[in-house]
Amino acid sequence: MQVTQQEWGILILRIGLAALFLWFGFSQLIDGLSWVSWVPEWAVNLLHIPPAMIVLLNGAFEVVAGSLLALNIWTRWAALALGLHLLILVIEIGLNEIGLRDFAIMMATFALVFLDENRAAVSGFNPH
Amino acid sequence: MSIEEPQTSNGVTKTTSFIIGAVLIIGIGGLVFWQKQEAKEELTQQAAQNAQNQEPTAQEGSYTLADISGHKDRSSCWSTINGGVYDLTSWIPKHPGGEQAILQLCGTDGSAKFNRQHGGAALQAQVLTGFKVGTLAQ
Repeated sequence: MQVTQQEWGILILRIGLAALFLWFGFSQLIDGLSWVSWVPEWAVNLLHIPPAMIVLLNGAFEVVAGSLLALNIWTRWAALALGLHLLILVIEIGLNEIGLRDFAIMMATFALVFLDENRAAVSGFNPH
Repeated sequence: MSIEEPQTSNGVTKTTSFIIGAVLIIGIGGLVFWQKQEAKEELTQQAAQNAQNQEPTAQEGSYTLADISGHKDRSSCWSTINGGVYDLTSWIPKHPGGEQAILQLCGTDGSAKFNRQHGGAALQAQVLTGFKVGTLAQ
């Protein structure tokens, strides 16, 4: 088994991002109340469900998508969903240190979407 | 590590990816669970400590919203919650939900945010009593 430099790079990027989303996802599932204050008013008005439930759903989404990244299953789809999810967070948080950090994570996540699955060891839009 | 052009059959096999991924998922899940348990234990200890120090302090007094608004950052963070006035400065770095949750209360009436987050939770209410410095002047 010959792992190329490119594959190492993508593996590290994918695993790093997966770890991040898994940590935040599990954290929201295990201790949802600590995250309720982050739920914006518009999300509650839009979804018509309690903020605590939104946290749980968000946590479940991040765990599932993070797991797909970790397991390299539908990686590019998962990265696309997580990138769009982060885009909403970045817009919501605004231009501060947390928003800028999330912007960088979002860009890294979108980078996975645009990888050539035949050359970069990521599973993609055409799983085989 | 090679710099040669990668081949279509990837070096990182599906099995290897799956094993790495599974270890990561279980590891992160376990780590988060352990961290939350630790935080909960710390919260319980803080609550017990606060229960022992229920006596009002000599400094306890009556404060207006204007007084509280002067303590609006991490160097001195006061908030009024449900009629009580609390000095939350020392709690900022210890709060299990992160610093931001406390910082947003500094210098304000934090009742709505506290109640939305912890309303009816005895443990959090007990922790809060340890930071009481007075009551809100009517």
